[in-house]
Amino acid sequence: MSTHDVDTMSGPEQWVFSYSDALYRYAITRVSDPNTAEDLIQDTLLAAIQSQRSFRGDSHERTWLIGILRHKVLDHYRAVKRRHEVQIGDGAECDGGIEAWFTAKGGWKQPPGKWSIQSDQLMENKEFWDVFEQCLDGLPDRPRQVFAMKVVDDQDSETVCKELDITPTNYWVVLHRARAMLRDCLEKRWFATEPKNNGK
Amino acid sequence: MLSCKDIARLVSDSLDRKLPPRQRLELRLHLMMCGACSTYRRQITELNRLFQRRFHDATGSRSDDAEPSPPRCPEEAKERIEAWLKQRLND
Repeated sequence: MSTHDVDTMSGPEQWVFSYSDALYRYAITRVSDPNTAEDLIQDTLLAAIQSQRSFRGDSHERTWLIGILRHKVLDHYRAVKRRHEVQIGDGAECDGGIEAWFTAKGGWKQPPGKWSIQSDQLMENKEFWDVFEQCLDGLPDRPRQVFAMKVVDDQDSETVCKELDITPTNYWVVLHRARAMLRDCLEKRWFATEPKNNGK
Repeated sequence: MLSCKDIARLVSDSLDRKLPPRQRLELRLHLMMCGACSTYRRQITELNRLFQRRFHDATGSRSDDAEPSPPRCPEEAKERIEAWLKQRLND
């Protein structure tokens, strides 16, 4: 049993105790800055409490909260875009070298390393998912956002394009870049050192 | 002829949508001849499957009692959020 008894807590205390981890995990993948994530969680919980719903602490309530947070995150993207009055980087100009992996003719300069995945092992491997979070975090804004919405949230392509205000062509390119950069990062930071990881 | 760079893009697209017949054929022919692209496709596909499993399990079938996966909200942040909420609600 937990030492905390959620029934004896005050309203805000209950909401923070029950949902802040789930909300944080969602927010940090999408905005990468911990302070921004914290602000978004605050706004989300305030909206929830002010809606006068009584606290239930169940999974439907969590889904409802994530829905509110999702809109807060999108508002945040829009505000950032307006503030800078520039396109959020799509990774084309600072992709850390997708272009550089290929020769002028489009052949591999540095072909992918020889590794494959033991998915059962990796699913339970906390260190691997920490590295994954860091790799995702290191992506430029657009690829990170598109990857999070499409692969993590499992939203369809039309919704992602609409909410991020990008064209379908741009969407496919950016999603490809996200996957390619993640693969590369995981190769360098995990799979290339696999003998070490297997020997745990 | 498509280059390896073009093929890498098609590999990603093919995970989410059915490619037009011509592209499908070019992809298949290229993969038959090119070890590096075959490796790339296998890794991208395996990673994609792993992510599906991870995020489907995390949001779909995970029960309420399950430990939330990292990253967790830092304790100081929780305290700040709670204090902020209480203050806002008293205003």
